[in-house]
Amino acid sequence: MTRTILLVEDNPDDAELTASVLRDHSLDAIIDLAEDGLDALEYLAGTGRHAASEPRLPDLMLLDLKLPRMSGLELLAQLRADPRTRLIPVVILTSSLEDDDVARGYALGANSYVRKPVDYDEFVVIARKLGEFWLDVNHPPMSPGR
Amino acid sequence: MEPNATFDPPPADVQRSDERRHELQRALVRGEERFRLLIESVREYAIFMLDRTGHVESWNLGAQRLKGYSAADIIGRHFSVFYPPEDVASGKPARELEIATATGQYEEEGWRIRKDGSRLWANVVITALRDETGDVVGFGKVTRDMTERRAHQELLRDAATELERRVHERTAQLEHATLKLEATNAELEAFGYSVSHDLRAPLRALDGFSKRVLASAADRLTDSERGELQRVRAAAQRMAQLIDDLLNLSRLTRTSFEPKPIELGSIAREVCDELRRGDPGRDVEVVIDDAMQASADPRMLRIVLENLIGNAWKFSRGRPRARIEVGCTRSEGRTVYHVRDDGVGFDPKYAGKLFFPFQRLHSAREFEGTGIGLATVQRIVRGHGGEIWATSAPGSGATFSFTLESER
Repeated sequence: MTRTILLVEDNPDDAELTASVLRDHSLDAIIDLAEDGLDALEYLAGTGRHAASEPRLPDLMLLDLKLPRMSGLELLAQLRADPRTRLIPVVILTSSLEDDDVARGYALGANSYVRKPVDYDEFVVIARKLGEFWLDVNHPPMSPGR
Repeated sequence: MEPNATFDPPPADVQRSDERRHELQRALVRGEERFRLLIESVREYAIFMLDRTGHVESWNLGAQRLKGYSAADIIGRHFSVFYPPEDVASGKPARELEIATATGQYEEEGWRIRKDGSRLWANVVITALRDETGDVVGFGKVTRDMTERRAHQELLRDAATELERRVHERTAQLEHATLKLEATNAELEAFGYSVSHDLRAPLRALDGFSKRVLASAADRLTDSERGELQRVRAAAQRMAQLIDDLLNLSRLTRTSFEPKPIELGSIAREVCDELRRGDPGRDVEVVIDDAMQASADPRMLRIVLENLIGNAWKFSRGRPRARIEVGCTRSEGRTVYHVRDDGVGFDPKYAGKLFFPFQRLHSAREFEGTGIGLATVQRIVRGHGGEIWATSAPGSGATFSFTLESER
């Protein structure tokens, strides 16, 4: 079964690099892209820009924090408040290592917090580990949406 | 009584009683005279009598001193001359006599006028004097000059008001400064947030796309082109390190330190073990005083030791067998901790520059680094109330010494 990763990232360079690293190293997952929190909610609901496709629940969400319109933390709060999306594994994947961001991320129910390194080689290693763990090793609970 | 008895001398007991009466009268006069003298000689209080309508009947030395009138000047005149014109106009003197008549006594503090027209602040007591039938026959008036006391009180009040004004002013200034500081802190925090989120993304692009070109075009690139792309990557990574170091330094100003008893020796050992794991080829003799204790924030002290021991490790790498010593000495009631190496050292004339951010005494080609480490260390040490200093000579190693509390 093909798995889906939803990458929520507004910076096109970062999005392209991250997506390509994940494609190369995260098994055979489909990598979808949302540009910010609202876009991600529309992706999950099959509305707006994503109206043409069915509402989908990804197997993993990778969230950047600083996003236009709706930040990663605001999106996370909404995901956890909605019974349909509250069990989706969410990994915060961002530049910041501010204590506040880490603490608030976990407080809002993030499953993991990973810092994007500048060194591409390091990033490749991290992306591979992320894919292996969340798509292969980790066993998520059955959620109402699945 | 018998008729012939008229010419008889009075009996002895009657004669005695007459003598006693005269004697009592003389004593009474003597007593009144003494009392009058006493009243007249009182200097601190004006004590005088008024008749029923308020005309001055008697005058004492104190009254003369206080009000400036001699007895000849004033006896017979109405006591309203002592009052300011506005009080006379409002009928105050007569009212005071009415109150004294009705209640027995009138007391107040108020302005009075001296003969020379100057004002005095007086405590005044007017007592109604009555005869045996209870009719008011006059008034006794006692006046005390309170001008000086009032002036002192006013001075005190003014001083208190001034003090209060200054406290208000200073409080307002402080509030203003606090608001400004809060605004500055908020700006700094926003700046730090933006730096930590936004500044690294372009560097990731530089490094990532360079790497991809290196991988995809490897067979078409010359060695020098590959080298240049490698330099782009190295620069991006170095910039990322600089940003991280800067963020850590700025974060320290916002962090509150929580000192507790710590085993500095074991932290030093962990730091050294980590350095050894990261650089297994080096032969470094490490000497650590394991009994070293301190009262400090453990996370912060780890950063201090990581930087100081890390520097010792780095700058001694030219030695085939280097030596790093971490210990402490007691001096003048305080503990001085030190990290000593036998590396390249530095020219003592630059010792003052060591702790400024971005100041480096060695070229990046010789020794890598961002120049933030010692500034960070100094900020932590000072945050604990301590000081840090360094001694060295070129080629003969360096010793960094620090305390963790101000000298007691």
